[in-house]
Amino acid sequence: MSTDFQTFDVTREIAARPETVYRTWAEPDLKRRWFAADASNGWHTEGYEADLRVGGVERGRFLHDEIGGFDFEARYIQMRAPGRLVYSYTMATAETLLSASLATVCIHAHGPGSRVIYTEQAVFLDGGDRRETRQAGTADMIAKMTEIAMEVEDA
Amino acid sequence: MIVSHMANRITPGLDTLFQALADPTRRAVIARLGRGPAPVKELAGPHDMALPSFLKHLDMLERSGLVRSRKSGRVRVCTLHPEAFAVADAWIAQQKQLWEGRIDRMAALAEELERKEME
Repeated sequence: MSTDFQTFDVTREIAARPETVYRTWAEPDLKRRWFAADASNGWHTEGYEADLRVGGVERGRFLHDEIGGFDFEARYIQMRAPGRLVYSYTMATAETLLSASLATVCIHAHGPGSRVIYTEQAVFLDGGDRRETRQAGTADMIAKMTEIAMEVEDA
Repeated sequence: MIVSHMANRITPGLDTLFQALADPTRRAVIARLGRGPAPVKELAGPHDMALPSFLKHLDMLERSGLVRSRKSGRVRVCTLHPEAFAVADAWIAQQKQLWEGRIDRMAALAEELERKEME
């Protein structure tokens, strides 16, 4: 059993006012267009639904040909237009809960536009233990990764 | 591929790992290093290519985080670091990469909405 804490953030400056940026996170039809309706990097989304209000649930299944399918489920904690959204979410496979995260979206006015900072604080549960991974046979891991690399190369 | 900075360390993304592994020379180097550290000269030995070409392969392996090298006297010794395979790190790198793409699309959409509103 593993418990691994990680944090990352992504920041962008956008030539649109905070009110407009906020809409892309808070209106289901707009959110779907950038969050769930894309097929880049081999990922696509199935069964996306979004009830974007405090206490509401957003869910969907992210699928990747090589990596597999992951169920996403979020619950909204705070939605304060136009500056901040906070939600928690989990990622799971059919068998395993992989991670639980707290996501905070801050939208600041920046010149005539906005600056968006997405911060995710995550705990990774049973997706993989670094220590076990390190101790496992190197050859096994290489074989597995090589197999995946070859599939990616062939694709 | 953007190298992801997080939690005071640099974790290569899956793309970098896949790229590092998607070549027979590099896989042979990894297999050799799986048996223990080795000097560059010894690693290059079995490969029928000029040293600069071989060093490019080593460079890619180092960028993937799988291989590290250090000078020991006049010899450069390479060591395998299989923890670059760590699932959680690869996973978070993947998540960050996904979010980079999402935020790009979100920004494009917000800018498009803004332009329409201004018309």
